[in-house]
Amino acid sequence: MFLWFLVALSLTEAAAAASIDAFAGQWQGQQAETTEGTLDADKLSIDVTALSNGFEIAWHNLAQLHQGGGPDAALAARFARSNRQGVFELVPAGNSFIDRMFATPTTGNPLDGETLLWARLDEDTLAVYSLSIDQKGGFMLDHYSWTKTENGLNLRFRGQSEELGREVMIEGQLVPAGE
Amino acid sequence: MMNQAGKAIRPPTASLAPLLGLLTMLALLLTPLKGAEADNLSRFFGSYVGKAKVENLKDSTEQERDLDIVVSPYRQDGLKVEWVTVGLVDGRRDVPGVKRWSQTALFRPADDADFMVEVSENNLFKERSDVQVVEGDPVRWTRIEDNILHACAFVVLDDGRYELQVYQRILTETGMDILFERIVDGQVIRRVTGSTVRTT
Repeated sequence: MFLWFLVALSLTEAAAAASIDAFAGQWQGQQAETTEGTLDADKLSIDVTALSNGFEIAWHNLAQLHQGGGPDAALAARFARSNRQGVFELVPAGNSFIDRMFATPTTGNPLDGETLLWARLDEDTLAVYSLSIDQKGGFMLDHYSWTKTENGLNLRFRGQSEELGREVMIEGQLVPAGE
Repeated sequence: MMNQAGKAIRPPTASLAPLLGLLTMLALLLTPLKGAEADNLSRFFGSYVGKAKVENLKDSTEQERDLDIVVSPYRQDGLKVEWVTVGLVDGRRDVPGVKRWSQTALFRPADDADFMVEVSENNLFKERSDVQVVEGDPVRWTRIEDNILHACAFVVLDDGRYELQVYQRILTETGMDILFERIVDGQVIRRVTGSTVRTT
């Protein structure tokens, strides 16, 4: 019985690891469609690195780019598995290599002015979320999801800004870089 | 003059007079702001009754509900919102199948921001740093913008998707309109719109 439990556990972990591997690599944005205005498809590009306990991802803040861009529109974060299946917590940046190996994942509390970042992985979709609350209590909620397709990834982005009273939707296609 | 430890407290000396003057001026400057904030909040205080329409967007069904809302002060500068909702059956509340929900929310001003955070009456002093949002701890907050009392509740679900509930209570000449949306991972699952009249 215990043996079966161990086999099942290792299979589950292997499946989860395989899912992350499926997204690993550099992905080049090819096509972008927005609810209003235009967006350079190159800004859809992402870079995902699979790690033993999670993954690292570099991407662009599409809501910010959609509103005219900015020098800090490029984002990068490391996520580690949480206690919940398929859910990943942000690992704070700026630690040493050793610290990062043993760091306990932490999350920002949006009520304290911090940005909450987390990620979700299911069979064929990797999603990254962020929630922040401004000084007056208005919130900004961004949701990126990349779904595997035959040729690459399909991006859906939804950015909701209560302060601006608007919602931005962006869809696009990504292919493996170099193809 | 004696304090609790039995030691004499000396009256203010001349050297403290400028400091006391400064403190008095600061207090006078701050008083109108606190008063304005209190007025802003007190506009919502009262009892309201009315009706609402519930749209379940997943199965395209609608329901009618009776509303009973009480907004009152909580402690010195907080807010208490109590509401009772009655799910009607064919527009009636005196037949089998009627349901009743009762909820209360308490808010106090956030430490360093211009909004209010929800507190639990049983655990007023829980540190917000203890909150683990990704592990499923909900965050709830409220703010006032013009005639609207916005209340939001956010939680990360077990599978990593999120649920956001946005509740707007909008002051009108006769009472308060309400707009509620329950959103799961970007999809509006339920929408409630209604209107109430002020009874007190």
